[in-house]
Amino acid sequence: MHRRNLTMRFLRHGPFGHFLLKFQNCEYEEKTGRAQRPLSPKQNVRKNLDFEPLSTTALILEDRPANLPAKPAEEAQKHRQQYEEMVVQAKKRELKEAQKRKKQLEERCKLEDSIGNAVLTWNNEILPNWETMCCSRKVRELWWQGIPPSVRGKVWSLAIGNELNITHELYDICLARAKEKWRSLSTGGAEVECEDAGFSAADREASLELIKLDISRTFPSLCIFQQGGPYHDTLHSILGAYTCYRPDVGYVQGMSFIAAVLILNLDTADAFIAFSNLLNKPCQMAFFRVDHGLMLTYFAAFEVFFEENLPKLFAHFKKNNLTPDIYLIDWIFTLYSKSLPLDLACRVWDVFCRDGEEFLFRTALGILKLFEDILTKMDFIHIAQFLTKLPEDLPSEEIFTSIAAIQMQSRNKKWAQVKRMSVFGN
Amino acid sequence: SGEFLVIGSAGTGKSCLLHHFIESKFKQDSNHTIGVEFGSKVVNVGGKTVKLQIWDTAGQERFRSVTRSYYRGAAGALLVYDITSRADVPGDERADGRERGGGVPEVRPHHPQQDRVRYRRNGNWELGSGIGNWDWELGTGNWVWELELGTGNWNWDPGREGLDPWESGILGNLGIVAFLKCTPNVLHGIESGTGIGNWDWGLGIWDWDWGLN
Repeated sequence: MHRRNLTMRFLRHGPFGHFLLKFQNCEYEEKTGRAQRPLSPKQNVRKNLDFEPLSTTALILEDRPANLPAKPAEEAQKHRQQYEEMVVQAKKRELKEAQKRKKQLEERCKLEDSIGNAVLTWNNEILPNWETMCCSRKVRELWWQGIPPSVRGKVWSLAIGNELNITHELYDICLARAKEKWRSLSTGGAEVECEDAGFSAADREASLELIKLDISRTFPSLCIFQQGGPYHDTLHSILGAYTCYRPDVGYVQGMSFIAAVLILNLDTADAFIAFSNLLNKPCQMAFFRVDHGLMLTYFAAFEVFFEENLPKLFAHFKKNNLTPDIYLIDWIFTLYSKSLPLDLACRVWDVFCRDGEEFLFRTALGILKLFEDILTKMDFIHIAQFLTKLPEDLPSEEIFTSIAAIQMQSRNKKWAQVKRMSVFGN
Repeated sequence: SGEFLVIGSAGTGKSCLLHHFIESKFKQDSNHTIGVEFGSKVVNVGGKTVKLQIWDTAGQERFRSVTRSYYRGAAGALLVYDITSRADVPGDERADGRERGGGVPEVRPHHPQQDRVRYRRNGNWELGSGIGNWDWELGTGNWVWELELGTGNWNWDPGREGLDPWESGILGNLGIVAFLKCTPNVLHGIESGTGIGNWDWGLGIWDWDWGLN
């Protein structure tokens, strides 16, 4: 796919020498970002088996054309020698590349094996014994490695729980009400009953309009939530049903990303249940209600751990007036699904489901730590730009190593305690 | 440097306008903004070099309390609004059933210290079926064509269905013009040391902010 066969000819002209080298059938991988696009494992296996070093390279030493005077013997000898050196070099390089590929293949196989094993472990051991096993050390460690996509939805559902006791029937009822509202809006007909606390009818109308607008602006590059895409209606339904389920919260920008990620991992009704329960968590409620005071509490607690873990960068941010709201709002509202590559974001979600809200802030510190050196050299606007638009090719292992290095203990106090203290500090 | 806010209701095209200003390219497949995003550009206004720090804010009304907290430090603001939305602009009728889509900004000085960008969104252009509406809108909104944009020669051909004026490049430098027209006022804001939060704008940002218009 990203390979092409190249034939390169090196011609060297000179008064005494002339030889032609042909590199045939050398495979070059384009060193572009696109090379990172996941290939299916099959393709990769084939690519690696295709490779046979000796048959793919031909270096041909040619004599001078007949119409030119023949080379002196010692010149010819010298060229033969140079030629042989080049062949040796080329073979060496090929061997090295072959070894590298073999190693990559082995690593990939190992990874696939470990994912395969993990799926078995999750399905056969952990999920059937969820209550007893979910907190065990072994499971927590496996959890940190990332949940295999095939069981991810199930694990998320179990971890998020259903404190609100939402049933599939309740979802159907909420959806039916939402549809009714849309109908009455589009026909401009009957007044919708005004039971919604705190918000005017106009505001609700605007929020229903906004859902439509935002759906097409949710993961637009995936092309699955846009008008005509396979999950457009699903996303619309979940967000609409939620505004009927929680009219006091309504639709708030950022929700569409959360619902979209859930839809990618769960069936519609289960996605709705997870969505509603997730948003019901204190941190999410504080943010989605845009409760400024509470948000400041979270930011203040975050800054305590920021200073503790990254004092130099913290001082630099202070000096530049770079407050956490600038980057945290987007990260917390969308649970990183907008700012990190989707597979990496899902891994953050995995551990967020395990550790709760504090992991969201720990992730933020992990990101800051990973880029500490660059960030300390930047001024306000460059930091702000960098953090609100993170590089697209973030290496997930490095991010997680960096997150792992973040201590969520400050003077023997844990996240929840520090947060409680921040409430009084404000 | 000057802090410069871009504010306005959701879906009016703030981020697209900013993207065009910075990159001179139109942006497709854009996410909606949560919180605030940033852009910066060095511009030359009246012989002075200004480095604009542009704060591109989230549009949903619920985020106003967050956005408002950024007013204090800002030297200026660009209010982007949808002329087809009654909620955004008084006196403009909104044609029913129209989809949102691409748009035309209009820079219209209202007040010595205030420039507004009107940014027309009309999905019919994208759909290529709204030429009639477009003419009708021309009739009611003549001023859209009287932009002080310096382009002067908008060869919009109503016969060419399906042509998106954004893509076609007819509106090539609108984003740039929108920002540049505001910059002298930003400069004023910087020099006088007053943030927009302190300005008395009459019909300006506060009316929009509090939904009084």
